Amino acid sequence: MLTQILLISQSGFILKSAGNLLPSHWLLHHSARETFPIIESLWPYLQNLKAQEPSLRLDCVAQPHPKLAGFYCFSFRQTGGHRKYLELSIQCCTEQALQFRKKNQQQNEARLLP
Amino acid sequence: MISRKVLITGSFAVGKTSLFNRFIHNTFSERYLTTIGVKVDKKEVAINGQDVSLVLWDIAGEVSQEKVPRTYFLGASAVVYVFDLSRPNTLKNMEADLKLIQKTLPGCLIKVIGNKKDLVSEEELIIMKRQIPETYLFTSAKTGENVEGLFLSLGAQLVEKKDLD
Ligand SMILES: Nc1nc2c(ncn2[C@@H]2O[C@H](COP(=O)(O)OP(=O)(O)OP(=O)(O)O)[C@@H](O)[C@H]2O)c(=O)[nH]1
Ligand SMILES: [Mg+2]
Repeated sequence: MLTQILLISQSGFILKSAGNLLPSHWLLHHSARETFPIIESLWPYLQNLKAQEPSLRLDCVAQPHPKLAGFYCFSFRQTGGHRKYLELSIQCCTEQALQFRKKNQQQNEARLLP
Repeated sequence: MISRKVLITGSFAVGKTSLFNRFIHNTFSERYLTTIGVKVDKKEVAINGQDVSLVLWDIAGEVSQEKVPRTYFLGASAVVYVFDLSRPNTLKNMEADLKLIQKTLPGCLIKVIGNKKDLVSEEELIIMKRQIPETYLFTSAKTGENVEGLFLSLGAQLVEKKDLD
């Protein structure tokens, strides 16, 4: 399965990376906010996520990084413990997304007919 | 640099993705490929000497905003609500939609855009303008008319808002 799990510090740097979506040296010690615009735009919210809260899921994010074509599911959660880290799991879901798009495309095109 | 999330929403096929692509990449395609989920990209603009990063969220169109996942609204500073000038039924839910957006994001900046200006005549535009508030802006993602202006004025309002906060 195509996935990547990142551990992000409170200042937004990627501390750990495991997975097969992107080479780790592109991620480790880089700013997660600069690497993924979606993280930049959610940053104030992500910083305030609480450990006991359910994870924040965004299904079907299209091309979240210039080198990641297709669609991905993003899931963020705050880890517990005395040091807060943000854990992000990115999972490829291109196949399901394309099927879903096909269905929506047909539906919307039909609705556009006069 | 300040960074602000801008959500582009509205009914399907009104031109949200086309406005996004026109502003971010200065491109346009006649082909309709419906959006699913969300695509995020950013563009930095300079406003009165202040650099602002506008992070745009282009999401799947919905006939009613009630169907838009609440998570998409998280942390948005502005919402661009798009309707299609050539399909009056894309205005049908606007009142309820705008109310819902205001309730979801209190204090957020909302811009209402009538897109596909190139498809309607001057006469039709004049009639339309009489029926809607003056602040609504008409754009064409196809010709590019008012697209840059829309996002620059949005950026300026967001900078102004930051200075007031
Ligand atoms: N003539 C004209 N066509 C436009 C304009 N903007 C978009 N279109 C066309 O309208 C169709 C739909 O455009 P999109 O940008 O995909 O619409 P959307 O709102 O993103 O649609 P969904 O993703 O399905 O919600 C495409 O065929 C575009 O080429 C415009 O300003 N003028
Ligand atoms: Mg779209």
